[in-house]
Amino acid sequence: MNIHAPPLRDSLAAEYVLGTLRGAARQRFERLLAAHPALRRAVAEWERRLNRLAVASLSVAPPPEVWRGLEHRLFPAPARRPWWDSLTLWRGLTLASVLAVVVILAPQLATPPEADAGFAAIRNRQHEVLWTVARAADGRLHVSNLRAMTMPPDQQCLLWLKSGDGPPVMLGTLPDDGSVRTLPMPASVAPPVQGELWVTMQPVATAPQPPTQPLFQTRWQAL
Amino acid sequence: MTPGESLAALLARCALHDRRAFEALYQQTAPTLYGLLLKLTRDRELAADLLQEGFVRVWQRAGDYRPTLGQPLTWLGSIIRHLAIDRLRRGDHRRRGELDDDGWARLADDGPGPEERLHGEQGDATLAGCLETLDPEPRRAVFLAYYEGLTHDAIAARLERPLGTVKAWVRRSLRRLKTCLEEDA
Repeated sequence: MNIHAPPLRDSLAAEYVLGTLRGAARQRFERLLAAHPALRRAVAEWERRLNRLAVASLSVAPPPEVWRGLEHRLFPAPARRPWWDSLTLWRGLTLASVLAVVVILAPQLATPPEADAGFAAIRNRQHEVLWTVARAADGRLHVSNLRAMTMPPDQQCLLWLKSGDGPPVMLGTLPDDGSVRTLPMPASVAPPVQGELWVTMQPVATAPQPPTQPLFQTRWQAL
Repeated sequence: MTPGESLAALLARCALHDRRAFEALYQQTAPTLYGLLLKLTRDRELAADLLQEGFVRVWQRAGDYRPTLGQPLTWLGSIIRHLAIDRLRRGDHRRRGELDDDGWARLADDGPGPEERLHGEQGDATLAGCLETLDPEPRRAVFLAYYEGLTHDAIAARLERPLGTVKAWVRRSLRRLKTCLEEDA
């Protein structure tokens, strides 16, 4: 099949997505897909067109096992053992020693030498640290994104300081490419800097509005 | 999580590994996608398996979603339906007989068809308008292929029309849909 002829390419892509391309022709098409970006684009365009039909499917409540299975596969809970379990005890001791090392080393690792006692870790709901924030003696914040994140291109994460009942004060845009960024402390924030750090995600194109609730939040830790 | 939060916003949060957003996305979209899978596979167990597999991919690929790929439900439908068609066409799946309990009767029921639902509040009036430009039989052929996963042969048998006619209907209908949707864009 001459997949370089656009009309044929397009009609094969359409029937592939619809599912009417079958048997040996389907297998041949799938092999060609791997090597031809134009074919993959045609398939993506047909998926965008034809799967608009999905919205008109009948709604049927899925069995609850599906969600339970998803939770089990994607978010496995840490195993619970009785307190006297020696393995757990050993793990606990190991964890304690690791924590001790982290507490001793963390100021040198995560904060510049002039940093004072302001440190915060922003975690996602799986308790993985996404950013660390360290406050330097001059008031500036050193923000580290611990690993690059896949962000939608039109969205950004913003850091806010929420103290008391007032609206949160924006501190700046958080790096999402695994880099470190220094943010000046806004003049309106007088030391001592207290309260919670909030993270929000919002479109790049719109002016940031103080949020009423955060996507993630954390407190300053003293080191 | 507000109930009205858009699916696009939920997907964006899933990309940041926000489990609550994933759960909200699942609650809002799984019934539609499960309905799609049930009709495609006619097999509850397989439909549930595919739904789970599909949402694992959704969680893993949420960061790949772009508005240029269509509405969020279109994108989710692409992931889920691709898995289903792939399974059906690989030929290692034998269709089971139709289930005869209430749930299946509801699915098999002719009731309000896709056209009516496309015209509804949550529907897609543009797509509905384009489908209306097709003649009834070719349109039915496209629906049988999309919603029931039928091949050309099976559609020909169902509509009691020659295979060549059905193939031409499907080919022409797809071309007309493309033109119509592009005119609208």
